[in-house]
Amino acid sequence: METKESLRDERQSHNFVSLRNACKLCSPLGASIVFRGIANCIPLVHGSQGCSTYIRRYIISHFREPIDIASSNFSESSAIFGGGENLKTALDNLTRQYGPEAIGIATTCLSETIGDHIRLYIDQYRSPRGSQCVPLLIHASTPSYRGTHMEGFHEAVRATVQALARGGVRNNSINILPGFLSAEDLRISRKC
Amino acid sequence: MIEILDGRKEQVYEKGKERFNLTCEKASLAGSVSQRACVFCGSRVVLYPIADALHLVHGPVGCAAYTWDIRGALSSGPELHRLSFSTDLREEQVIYGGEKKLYAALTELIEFYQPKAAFVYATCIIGLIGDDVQAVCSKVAAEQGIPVIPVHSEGFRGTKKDGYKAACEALFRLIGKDDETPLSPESINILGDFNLAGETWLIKEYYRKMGVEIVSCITGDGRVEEISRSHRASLNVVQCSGSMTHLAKMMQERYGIPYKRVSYFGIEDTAEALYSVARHFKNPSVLGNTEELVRSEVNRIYPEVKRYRGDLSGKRAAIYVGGSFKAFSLVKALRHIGIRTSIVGSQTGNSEDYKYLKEICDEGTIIVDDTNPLELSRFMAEKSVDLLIGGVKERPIAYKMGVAFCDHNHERKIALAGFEGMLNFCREVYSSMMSPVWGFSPARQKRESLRRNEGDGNKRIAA
Repeated sequence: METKESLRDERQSHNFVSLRNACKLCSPLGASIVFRGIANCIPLVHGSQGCSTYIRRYIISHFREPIDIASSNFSESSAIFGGGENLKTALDNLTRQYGPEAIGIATTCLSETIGDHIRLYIDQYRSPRGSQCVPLLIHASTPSYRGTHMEGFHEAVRATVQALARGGVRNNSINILPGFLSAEDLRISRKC
Repeated sequence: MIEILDGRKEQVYEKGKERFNLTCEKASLAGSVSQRACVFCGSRVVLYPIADALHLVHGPVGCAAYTWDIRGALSSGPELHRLSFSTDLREEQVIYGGEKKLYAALTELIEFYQPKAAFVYATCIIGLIGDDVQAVCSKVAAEQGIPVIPVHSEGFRGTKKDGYKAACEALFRLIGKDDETPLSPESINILGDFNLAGETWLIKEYYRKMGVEIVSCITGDGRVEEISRSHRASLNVVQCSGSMTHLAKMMQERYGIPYKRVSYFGIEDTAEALYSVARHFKNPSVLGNTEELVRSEVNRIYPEVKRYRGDLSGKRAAIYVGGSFKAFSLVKALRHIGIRTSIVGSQTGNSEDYKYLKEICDEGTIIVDDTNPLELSRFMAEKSVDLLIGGVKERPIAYKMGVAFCDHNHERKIALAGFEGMLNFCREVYSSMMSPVWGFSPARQKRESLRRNEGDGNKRIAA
């Protein structure tokens, strides 16, 4: 009984408010991993330039591969008046330079908190152009203060399926939803 | 081959081809995959090497996690700067405010680690929800009896350069506290050297030999106490001018300390840096010591540098770094070993910097501001370069293209400053360039066969 009591004290005294040397990352990173894992899809982080550059730096160091993640590069005025224009410019420029089949948009704490209406922006972007000329646009809501990279990952998987899956006749095949695995792990699990 | 985006055409210039009119210092184009980071990053990397201060990132987990131990800035004593602290802001605080959590986190951390000062970095979200970071800092400072300084580094406020400025303003609040400790009349502060791989220690040793006292290396192996008396030095010596010139200017205005912009990369620039400090003091013994130091160091390293030049002569390089001052030095240092710079660019250069860069580069050199991976790889292919000098984000681009690489960014593990650093630099470039591994790179082989064909073609034309 006594030991249990002292354990509880111990735990309480370690109930830190601050986060030290965290082993978690923020949700747009998880989403970027998903989008980068789809062939000819490029991730676009909707927020400040730093978010995408940091996430890139992190993933590049990990995989030791060149990995491009775009940013809609918010300025102070986009933080005040909304990031719609930035998003459209980013989509235009990405399409021109990379010619992707899909663009995965991940939001950040900044764009989520100012209340950017991404679905509306996407519709506004698509409608005058006709869906043929525009890459597929996937939108994952990933404010960094909600969840971690894991939530971001799952949110992006969900958003991708929602955006792309059309339904149809079932056949004798399976989908693998492996969670946050590295590319090498996936290669092995595919062989099994 | 990719085309350059309309919004970026004026940020690319090829010497000799067009009239020089390079646009710079503008926000990165949305969707262009810039290599730049944000305001917060600028502040974080500049203040990072202050080793006995607590660095608390007020914001969501990402900002702190990505900048955990981000620089190879070594410390000779405490290593508090290498840990990562965050208030880990959650949805609840975004709605109701994060001041309480900040107060609790700060108090808890200061009581536990007993730092000499604390910096609190405000991230994007703090700027939006409007936490009064200053008020919390003042309260904690009064309670704990140490300086607690807010750094206004909301990511959307501008570019990385604005982050440098915010860091300088935060530093300025630490300066001017200690008026007691006696100092020599020949005393300097070293600004903007980050002690990557112990570089500041090399530089410090040079100054010691010259007979110049160092009051504070503000941003390399930095200590709060040293910074607090740095206002009484006779000269500020600023390296990496992009980040610290602002602080030097503020110190000049308030305390009347003149400053000099220098670079410690390459033989020429290192020697010039030491001489310019010696000349400033007009003390014949300091000048004599400097001459002696430079002579013996150059004599020591030059034979080896010359050996490398034999093998490296005629090769072509691309440089893409953060600050333009480093680019100047690299162009000159490469020339020393016979390498021609075909592409050079920086993230944060200003128009004066680029003008100077244009002066020192050869005809046909491409100068770029705030470039991106696609452009960079296009230019590298166009100019058929053998070497890329950049940072961690550029490294895999080089390797994929079968191009040698030298890390000259803040994560480097080898000291590249000073005379010793020049030697390390040559070794690094040489070993990457001459590595037998390129025999296995299809990209490299393709390029070499292209070059051979070109060579044959030229011979035929000549015949």
